Amino acid sequence: MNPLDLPVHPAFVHIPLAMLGAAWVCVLGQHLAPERQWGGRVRLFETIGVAFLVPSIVAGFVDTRGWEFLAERRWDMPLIWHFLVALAASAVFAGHWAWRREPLRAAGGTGAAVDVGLSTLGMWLLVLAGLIAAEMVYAQ
Amino acid sequence: MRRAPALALVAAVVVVAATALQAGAALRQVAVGNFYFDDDTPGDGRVEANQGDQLRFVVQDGGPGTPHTVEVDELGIHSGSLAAGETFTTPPLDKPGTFRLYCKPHDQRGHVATLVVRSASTSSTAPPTTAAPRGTVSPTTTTSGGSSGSTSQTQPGAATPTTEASSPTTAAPGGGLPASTDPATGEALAPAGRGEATAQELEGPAAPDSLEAMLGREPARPGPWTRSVRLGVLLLLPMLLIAVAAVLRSRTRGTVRPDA
Repeated sequence: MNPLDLPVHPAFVHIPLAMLGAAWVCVLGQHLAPERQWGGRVRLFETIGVAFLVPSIVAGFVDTRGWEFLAERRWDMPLIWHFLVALAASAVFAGHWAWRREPLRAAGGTGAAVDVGLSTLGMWLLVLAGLIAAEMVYAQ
Repeated sequence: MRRAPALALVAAVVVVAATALQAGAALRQVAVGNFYFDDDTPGDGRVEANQGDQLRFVVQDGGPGTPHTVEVDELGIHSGSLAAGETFTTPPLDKPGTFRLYCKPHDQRGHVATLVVRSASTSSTAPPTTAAPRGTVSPTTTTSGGSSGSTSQTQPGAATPTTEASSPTTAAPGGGLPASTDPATGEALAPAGRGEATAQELEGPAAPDSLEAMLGREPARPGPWTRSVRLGVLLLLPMLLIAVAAVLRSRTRGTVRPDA
């Protein structure tokens, strides 16, 4: 299942982290300093980021040797929280990506609020998932 | 008056038999960490026990990203995820043989050992050892009922205390901690399953040439991982401020329609 015999999740997960983080910055840029290029950048970064969420999630299950941790549900341990928060972040970004397929939606008062709100929520969840993961790996 | 020596002999036999039964089954501590299972002979990749013994695995770190588990498929032992500071006690090992002991999430990273369960007929010839496993309390021998040096094996949450709080603590052959056994049935009374390690059990000298030894830090200990959640909540505030600023600015100046 894992011929490299190394954790594979860290190798994948930084790509969506970087791409979706960049997409969030571009969303803010689009609303703070309106220029046409921002929209295209948001689309590019978010598409790559959302696409790489899939192998990142699969790699996570490879590293945990399956989904036994979901069957057990140890709420006192960080792994399940990392999974749930990262899953929520993925859902929010995927939703934002789908919502922005109609370009005009991000313009206007309500559209701007939804655009920035969804993107910021996704980014915060992503950061939170990363913080939990960092504490799992480094902070003992 | 011939009866007196005979009674004394019978009494002696009973005492010796009871002692042998007590010493026959032991609760052996095994330290678990990245990526080792260490019994009283650490570093050899083997965990040895006698038939009827119980193993008490003491998890000394939380695992690199994913928690450790204790698995012996042939004996049906599956601990589930174990956090740092937790213990897992097996049922008595009734089946002699050599088995594969491994940690499921870190199996491919070498977190594997060989579990050797000696049969009851051969276990009496096993050489006794006294070295303590890494990071665990040495089994001690006391000659009186005092508590000094004795190791509490009480499982938190268990209905009954598992060990001798006031009885003499005698190291069993093989360096194991003596288990509370029912002299009538020989069954171990230490409840199988999860428990909490004592602070003493988690302490231990840093391994030579390790990062901990070089830095003078104590070996890894369980920490409150929820501090990452608190930090995350703190980060929410500046992120919200930026987001609100972006929305307000967008409303006042207007957003250039994306992809237009």
